[in-house]
Amino acid sequence: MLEITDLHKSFGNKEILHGISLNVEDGEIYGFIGHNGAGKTTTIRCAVGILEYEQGTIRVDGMDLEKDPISCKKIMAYLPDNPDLYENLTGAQYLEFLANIYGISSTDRQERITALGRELEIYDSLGDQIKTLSHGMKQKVAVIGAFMHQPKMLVLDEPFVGLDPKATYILKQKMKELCAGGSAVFFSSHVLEVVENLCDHVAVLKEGAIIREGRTSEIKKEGQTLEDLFLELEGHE
Amino acid sequence: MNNLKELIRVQLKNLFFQSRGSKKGKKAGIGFMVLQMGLMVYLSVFYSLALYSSLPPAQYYLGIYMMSAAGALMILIIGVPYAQGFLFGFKDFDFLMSLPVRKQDVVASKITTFMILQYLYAGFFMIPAMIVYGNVSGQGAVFYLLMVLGFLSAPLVSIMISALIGLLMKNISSRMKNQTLVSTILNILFMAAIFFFSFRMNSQSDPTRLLARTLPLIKVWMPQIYWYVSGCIDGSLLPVLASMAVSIGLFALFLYLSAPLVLKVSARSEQGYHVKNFRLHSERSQTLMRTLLKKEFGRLFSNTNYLMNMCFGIVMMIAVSVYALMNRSFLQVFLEQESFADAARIIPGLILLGIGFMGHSTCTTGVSISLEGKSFWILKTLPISIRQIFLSKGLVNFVIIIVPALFCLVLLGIAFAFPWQDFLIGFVYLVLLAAFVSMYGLFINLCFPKLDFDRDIVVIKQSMASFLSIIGSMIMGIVVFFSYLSILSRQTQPEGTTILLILCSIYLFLDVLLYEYLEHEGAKTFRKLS
Repeated sequence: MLEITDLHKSFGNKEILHGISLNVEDGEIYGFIGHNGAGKTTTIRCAVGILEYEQGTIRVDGMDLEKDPISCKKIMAYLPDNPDLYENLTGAQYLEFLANIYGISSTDRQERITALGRELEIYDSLGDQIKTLSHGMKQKVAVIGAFMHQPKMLVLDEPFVGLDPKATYILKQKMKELCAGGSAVFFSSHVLEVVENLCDHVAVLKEGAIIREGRTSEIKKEGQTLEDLFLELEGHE
Repeated sequence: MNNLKELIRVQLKNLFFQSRGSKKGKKAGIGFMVLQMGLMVYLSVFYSLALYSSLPPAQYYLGIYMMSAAGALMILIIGVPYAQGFLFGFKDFDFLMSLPVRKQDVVASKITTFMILQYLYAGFFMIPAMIVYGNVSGQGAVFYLLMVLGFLSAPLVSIMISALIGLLMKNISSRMKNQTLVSTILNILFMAAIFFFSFRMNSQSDPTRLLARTLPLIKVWMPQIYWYVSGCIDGSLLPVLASMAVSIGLFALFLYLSAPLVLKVSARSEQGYHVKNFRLHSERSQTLMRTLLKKEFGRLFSNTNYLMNMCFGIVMMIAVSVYALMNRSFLQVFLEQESFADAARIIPGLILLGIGFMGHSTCTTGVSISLEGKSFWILKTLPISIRQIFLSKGLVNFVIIIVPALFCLVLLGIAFAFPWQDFLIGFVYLVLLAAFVSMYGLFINLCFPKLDFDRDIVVIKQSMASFLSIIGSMIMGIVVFFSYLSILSRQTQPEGTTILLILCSIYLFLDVLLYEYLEHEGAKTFRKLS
């Protein structure tokens, strides 16, 4: 579903990503871990079309992101680490805006916003201006926005930051449900337990390069946790 | 004291150099400041020289009174929106209140920074005007010494009044559910009052008589300015000291009374609105372009400063059209003064170019990309083409210009009995002009983007894109207007209609150029933005 090949990205003269390659299969949850500044957010921002890159290819469902960005974005959704939404709109207005862009029918949007809003316990606040909401509440609005058009490829950057435990649980369930339907999820996180329990596939990023990648069950040694592996890689590489 | 100094330092840095981390950004920031202050000096010197060229030397003193009063008025106009955004509605309220500093220091730092900004504007306008006067009237060293001494307090009353009006507006609007709408209405009323006052003052076409009429008004309404200027002219210290005492006294009283309100009003204005018992209503789905247009119009109308700063031209356009309609003979008198052979023949062109000039100063696209700010990721990740994004931003600007422009064209066309050909050319001209301004703004914003900011006003009033989009477009409007007049006043003048057709061709050419730029280079630049 998401295929990144030899991705290079620089800011000025400094190369941040040194040839990232990874492949997120259909129906798979793919975790992306690494220390602060390793290049996770940069990779994700390239993958969703925010940042341009100097070298490499990104394919979404077989389509080249550079050549056909609109088709790629139609089947993708992105949830950033910091939910900077349109502050002057209400949550409902923001979601209506997204629904119109993705061409979601009137009935479907009403059902989906209501259901997700109630599940995440944000429904009653959807009429409030976004600028009045807390970080976690904004994140919940952004979560509804990301799931609303039932994307085939969901990309999330530190999605659990700021969410309460119930919302975190629901988000994890939604990610699993989405993948069960054949979609794929690619996300970064520092919460290694969540990555270990949730992901089918994991990549460890260090200083702009993937230093370990594979199925979650396969990349660890017997009796080792993902945290042990991460610390080992950080210490020995 | 150290905290206060540190707060002021940070506020000033934030105000002038905000988000200009890169070398290019820093250069643009400094360049913008130099340009802005340079413009103030230019306006001051240009108008001063123009005034003295129309006055007999014995009445030069009238000019300096006029320029000083204009400076005071300018501080008032610039200060009101700043007071609302910077003094009584600051975005870093939560952050500052969480710091281990005294509340008084926070308030003092805000007021001091606001004053420094206003003093900069005042200084770059009033001082050059005083120097020009000193030069043309051969004043000695005492004049300049008193000028510098008196300037230390001269802008204080205007700053105080602008802050008071800003406080009043913010206090009213922050209590309402539709804060922005109320704030916009109040700001429009404020600007209308300023226009009304200006039109009344300018109804006198003879500059000497106009200035003589203005002087008693300055004496009554701005006594501190009158004392300051008269003291400088006469070389007398006492009136200057009286001016300083009154200004400082009033300002101290203002500080004492209003300081507690700074935090109170700021806290309230940041609250936004909440809805009780929310129920999601079924909305009809809309087309992509309609959705984007709704977003862009919403962005424009949800920010009073954006609306007032960028749509100032159309307010002027309508006001001047109504004024011209009620004073039809004014145009005739003006043309006779300028010795035009066939006034009736060139009136349609003049009116059209006048409307066009106002359209030139209405450039919403100049900051519309920058205003995406931290939410820019939304546009970048949605399945929308760059062309659609540009089109939605451009169309808002186009509509904002073309609707009032055509209204004014029809209104004045009927009043001045335009022939049908002039209506047709007028329509084509305004359409091409509106398209030009819309695309020019996008071009400038792509050249000088600024996505990292904490308050919209920083982009709207203090960015290079804002400055160049409005001023650059207005300069073009002025050049077109005066070129038309200059060509028509020649002996072998071509037909007014011919000149308008040539102008239409120029705009068409520029439109095609800008369109091509936006389609290719502009789209590339947009893709690189993040």
